[in-house]
Amino acid sequence: MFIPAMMRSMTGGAAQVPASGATVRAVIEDLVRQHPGLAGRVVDENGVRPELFIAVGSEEIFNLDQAVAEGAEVHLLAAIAGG
Amino acid sequence: MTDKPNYRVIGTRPVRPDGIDKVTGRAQYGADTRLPGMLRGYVLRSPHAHAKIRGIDTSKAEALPGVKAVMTAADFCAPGQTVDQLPDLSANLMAGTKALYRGHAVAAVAAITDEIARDAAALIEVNYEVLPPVLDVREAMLPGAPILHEAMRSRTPTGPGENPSNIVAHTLSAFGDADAALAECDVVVDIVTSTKMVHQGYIEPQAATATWNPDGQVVIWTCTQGSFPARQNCSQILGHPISKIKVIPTEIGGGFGGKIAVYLEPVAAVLARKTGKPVKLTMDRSDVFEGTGPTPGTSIRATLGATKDGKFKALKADMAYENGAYPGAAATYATMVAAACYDIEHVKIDAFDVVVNKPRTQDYRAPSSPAAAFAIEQLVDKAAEKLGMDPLKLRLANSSHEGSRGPMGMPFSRIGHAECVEAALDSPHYNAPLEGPNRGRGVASGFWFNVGLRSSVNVTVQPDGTVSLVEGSTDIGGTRASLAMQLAETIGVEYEDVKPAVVDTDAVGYNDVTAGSRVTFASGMAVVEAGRNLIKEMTARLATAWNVPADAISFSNGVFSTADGSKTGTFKQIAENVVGRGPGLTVSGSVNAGFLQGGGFAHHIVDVEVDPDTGKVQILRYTAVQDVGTAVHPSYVEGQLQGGAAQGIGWALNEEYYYDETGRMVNAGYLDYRIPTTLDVPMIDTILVEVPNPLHPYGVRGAGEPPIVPPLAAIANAVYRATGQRQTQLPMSPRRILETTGKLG
Amino acid sequence: MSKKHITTRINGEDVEFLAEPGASLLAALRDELGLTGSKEGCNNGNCGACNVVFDGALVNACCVLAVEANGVEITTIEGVANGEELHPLQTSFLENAALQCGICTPGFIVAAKALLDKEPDADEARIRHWLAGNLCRCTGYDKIVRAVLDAAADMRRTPA
Ligand code: FES
Ligand code: FES
Repeated sequence: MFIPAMMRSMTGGAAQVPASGATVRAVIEDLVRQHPGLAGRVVDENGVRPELFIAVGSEEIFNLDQAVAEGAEVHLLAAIAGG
Repeated sequence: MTDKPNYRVIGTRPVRPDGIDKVTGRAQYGADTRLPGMLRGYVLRSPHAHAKIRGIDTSKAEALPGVKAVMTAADFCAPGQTVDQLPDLSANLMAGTKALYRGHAVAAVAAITDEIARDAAALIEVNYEVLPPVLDVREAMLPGAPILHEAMRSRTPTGPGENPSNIVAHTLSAFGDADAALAECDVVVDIVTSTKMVHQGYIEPQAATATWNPDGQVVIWTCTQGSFPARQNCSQILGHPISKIKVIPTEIGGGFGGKIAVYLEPVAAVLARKTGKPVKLTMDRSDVFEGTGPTPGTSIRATLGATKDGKFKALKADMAYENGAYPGAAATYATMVAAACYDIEHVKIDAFDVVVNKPRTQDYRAPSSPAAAFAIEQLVDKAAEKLGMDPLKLRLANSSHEGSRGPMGMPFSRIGHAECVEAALDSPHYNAPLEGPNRGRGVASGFWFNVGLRSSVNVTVQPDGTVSLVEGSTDIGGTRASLAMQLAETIGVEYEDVKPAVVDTDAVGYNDVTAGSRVTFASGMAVVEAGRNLIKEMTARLATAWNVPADAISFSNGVFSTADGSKTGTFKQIAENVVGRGPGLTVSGSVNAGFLQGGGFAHHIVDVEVDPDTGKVQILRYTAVQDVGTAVHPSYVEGQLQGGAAQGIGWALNEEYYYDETGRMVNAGYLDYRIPTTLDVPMIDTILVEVPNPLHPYGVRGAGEPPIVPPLAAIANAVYRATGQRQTQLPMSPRRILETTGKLG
Repeated sequence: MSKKHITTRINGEDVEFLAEPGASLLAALRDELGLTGSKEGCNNGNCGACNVVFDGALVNACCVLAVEANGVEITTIEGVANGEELHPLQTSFLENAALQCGICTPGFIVAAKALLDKEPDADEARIRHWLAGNLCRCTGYDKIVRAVLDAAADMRRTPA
């Protein structure tokens, strides 16, 4: 699991942390269990926080129940637009 | 290259639908709004770069005949709220307790004429306690620097800082172990660069007009890049429900990221509420420079290490970006783009967002990327020289590619950086000899990831078989045409049979800003979806009319037909004869295209001649190469590349916010802030590389942002070849060139 | 100060209006007469968005006083087309995609027309020199210069 730079103070500075689960939602739940500082900062009761987006491998995902394969890279990324 | 599908409309160059209005002077831009009984407003701005506001006395202004209302930051406060509690969004529009930059708005007047409003503003007495300003990004980071926000604590990788600081955030982005890898590299090059604040320089100044009805319905006409985000921001600042605010986007005279934030809109709304009349506010050019959001100045130190056979191993950088007066994330953006062009295993970037007493910065085309490329693409040039390699071949050998790790850690999908560099290697420009003294050729690459975000469109079938396309993303550079073309392609009609229109926030579903190179891409996806929905609905109606099952009807190349071919009809025939007899038919298409488009890469080649006596750099020849996925309307895509290159040329050679020590911008007009003219740029050749984007049905990539990224470094590299001197500071004005190349002449 | 009564001819029509003594011609065109095709980019003579032809001379309307218009013949962008028929420069700007946002376009077309009316053979260097007072931030000028060259060629083929 890849953590965006602005949230690394919640993972002790780590950019990459292991987490497990069969779906994106489960992986995030596991992540938050390990790093409680992230509670409510990745997903809240309405889904993914609007300032973040999530990708599995090189694909952005919109459905938290999407399955995650063993060994896959899950990326939490900061949202940004541009000019 | 890749086999290109045989498109019928995409790739052609029709005349844009809004064109005639724009060449005849009929098109209505921000300042052209005229309403009966309209008052004119004027904004009073701080003459000081840093000052406490002890009090504001508006009584003399209010007493002036013809003045209808005066407002200050207190008018943005909710009941019980005080001005020191206003959020940054509001405080930047109207200073409450502190003016944080020269040009910061402090009050506004509405009067029956522009002249009276100006005269009244001069009668407003603001009691300032002037404070020392801090204007340099590195100085602002030092302990003991004047502090802009007493309550602000730095965000750092190890938690919040303890003391007040101008450092908004220290962001660390690291993969691998850059320090250890650098120690093992055969070739190590480094650079220290600095760039100045520059402005988007759109020719149309901001303008907004508002009405406020007694029932609380607010209407705002404005030249914004995003009517929906503008509505949202007005709602927050005014504490007024979104459902009671309608934003009507006028035509917009350029934006480039600078017309996303609202400035005048909420002020016009408050003045309209206070007076009960329509109020129009316009900025003049110095207001635009001093009171809107330019792009940050920067200070960057970077080191690149490679093996002796030219493989990049490690990149290390320390990047400080000005945020202007309020916290932003420009440096954080930089960590996401700086190393994107190359596949480098070990990267460590320390990025610092810093507040200074200058206008709050905003995005400017590929924000944060050009200044980072100015440093890194010069490092690549230095490495090429040390390695004795061709700078394009070195780039090709290290290029990012599908599957390599992007700057945020996520692997790239199908991208076209290598293809751009290959096209540059094959280009007539790169293969033409450059001869003559004081001349040099430079190259550089650039990246912007391009966003998708949300778009909605409606499509309605008209009685004559044509369709209208209603969209909510404002059209700055020809997107009405590029969207109409995608719809025509999808439903198999002629481009001329699609009539596009940009409408207000009440008339269509949600659309994010026209920014991030997203409209042709994401609104294009919404258009394709709407087109497919339309065909599905027409097929259903046709099934009834033809008395066959819907799945027996197929649609291709603009023709509906039954499987046995016994019944056929073109889109237009069916629309007119079948749909036209039934109830009206409107369908919509809405998408969330996410944040990433997969990435847009550009590569530029430039030849310069440096006048040894005057230091003036003349651009002799320029070629812009870019992977655009699929060029929907090639002329407008070329125009994006040419316009971006010209802006980059201005940034490289002339443009800068020039401050005196009190924090006054001394060149707040076009005479002294020199943007390129017809004499400063040659014809700009373009090479459109088309590596279709797998995320879009027609392979489109946003084209608007990448072309501003390479020019700064490409020109610096060219000047180096011409003079033997590295240029590490922007702009490379004649004076700076003479200073650094004293031996020339 | 009292307003002055001004009689002028704009785009072939006699026009009368009341001018504030300090107001610019640009302000009068836009605010008094509703001719908003002339644009304000800088209000101090640096961008050309407000270009109009003033008794045969190309001027920045922001730098001319409204009262100076008395007895003068003025052409603005609204008067460049001949009724329903676009001027070759207007057609050429459309066909060459010489506008993106379009805010600079009225000024460029008025300025280019003033040049080609006098110098139908203007070449690229002359055109670039003549248009150096008109700023465009979107196009990089490439397609604008080509549009003017194309229009010039077209006008030479079919003189008005
Ligand atoms: S508005 Fe007149 S020259 Fe700019
Ligand atoms: S087209 Fe936008 S300024 Fe010229």
